[in-house]
Amino acid sequence: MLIPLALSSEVPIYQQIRDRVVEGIASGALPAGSSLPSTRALAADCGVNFHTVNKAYDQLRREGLLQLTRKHGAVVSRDHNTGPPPPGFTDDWRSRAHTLLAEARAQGLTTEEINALCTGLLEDFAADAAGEPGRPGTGERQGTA
Amino acid sequence: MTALVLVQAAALLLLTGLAWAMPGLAQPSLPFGVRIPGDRAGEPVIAAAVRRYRARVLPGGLATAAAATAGTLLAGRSALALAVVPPCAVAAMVALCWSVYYRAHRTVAAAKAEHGWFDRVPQGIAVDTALRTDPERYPWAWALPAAVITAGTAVLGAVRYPALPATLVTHWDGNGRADGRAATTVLTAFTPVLLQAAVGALLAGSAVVALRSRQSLDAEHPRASAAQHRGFVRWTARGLLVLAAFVNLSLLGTALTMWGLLGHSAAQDAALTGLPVLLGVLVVVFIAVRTGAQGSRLTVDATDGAGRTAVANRDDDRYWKAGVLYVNRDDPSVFVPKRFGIGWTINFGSRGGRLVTVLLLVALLTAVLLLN
Repeated sequence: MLIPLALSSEVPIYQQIRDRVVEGIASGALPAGSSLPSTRALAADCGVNFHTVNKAYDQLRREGLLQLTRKHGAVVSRDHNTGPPPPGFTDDWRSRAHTLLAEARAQGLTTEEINALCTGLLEDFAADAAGEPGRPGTGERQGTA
Repeated sequence: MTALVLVQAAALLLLTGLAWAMPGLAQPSLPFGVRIPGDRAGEPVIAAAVRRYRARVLPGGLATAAAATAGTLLAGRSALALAVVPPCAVAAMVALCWSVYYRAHRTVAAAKAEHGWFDRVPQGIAVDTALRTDPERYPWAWALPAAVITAGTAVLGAVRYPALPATLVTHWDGNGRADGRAATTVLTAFTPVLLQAAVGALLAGSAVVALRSRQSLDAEHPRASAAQHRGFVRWTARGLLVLAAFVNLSLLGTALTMWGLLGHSAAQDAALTGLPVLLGVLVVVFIAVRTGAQGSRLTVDATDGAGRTAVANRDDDRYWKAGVLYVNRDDPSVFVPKRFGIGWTINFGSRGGRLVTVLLLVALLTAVLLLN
């Protein structure tokens, strides 16, 4: 799975890594049981400090999305097929969505527009998960050499 | 001595050719080791720098080769001179290539700064986790030839050992005369086999390092460069194993001569020792030229869609000292892709990098001492 990081962004690198992994899980690029590189390996590949990746992985672990074991490294522990969210998650997410939607409404987006955008994004996740099992970067090797 | 003259000239001419070709083998966003946004690759100042670089490196290289050849011929039979000229020639060639490269590097870097090529250009990194979770497999089949040759030489040695004379020739001088003998023991008789095993292990180990090397994807074309990275490390590993096989073949030739299974002449020695190594080196060079730096010349199936991504690669020129030495304490990687040529260089700012440097120097000193 491809993790693009924007260096000029206001979003810290560890947050970007965490966000891209969450999106990967949602879109099916990282199904439950799939692996992520070890903290050291990912830090080396990104050219960033070990602690930056550690912070991202730690956040994912606390969210229940990633399991870090000595033997298997970093493994995705759940996706949308695994079952209902853990207790308290929905309330917490709702309060964050509350702010996000408030932003949209304050800036003049209509309810219909907001609903259409949200539906579109969710459909994209579902389409990615269903439609392209062998997409480059999801584990299948490419190259003609 | 003719062999030495030919080998030296061939090596220097090969280096000149590679230096000449280098700008065409570099990654598109790194002309002369200067990081640029992809859409600046066509800037006229870069093309002009390439022309000037080539116009300087070609005659310079040819002159160095000519001078080295003359030096070796003039040295006559002086063993000291014959030992000194080749390393000096190589050092001169490297110094020439670097200085011409560095001038071009400064020109492009100056243009980039003066015209603000990175002004308001968002920079990014791209990482493909699959390169770690589903890495390229070790090409064991390609290691077989080297292993088989080593085993075959060992068996041959074991069969021949009882019939060996009391002393063995261990060193021939530059003119093909035996100038070192040693008592025949298992250790001295099997030196070629031990060297085969050592060289084989070293190159096989280097292949592992290559396969596990950190990715340095082009943030502007992440999918394509991930596929190119796979192809590059795959072919680099294979090339190193092929080189091991050829070097082992060369050592087999040495063993056959040492054990008296082949007659001995200066020309034959040169052919047996030199030709396989030359072929091995040519294979590696061919692979390097065909793949380009980090596989940038490979055609791959993976694409990044219609346009480039919205970011340019990170402008990290400040970590590259003199355009060729990478020193970055914040980067944990030990090996990073070179900016001058094809392959990897050491991150001298990392702990692992400094350790590797020390180990390499020790190994080099040991090798030099053992050969003398």
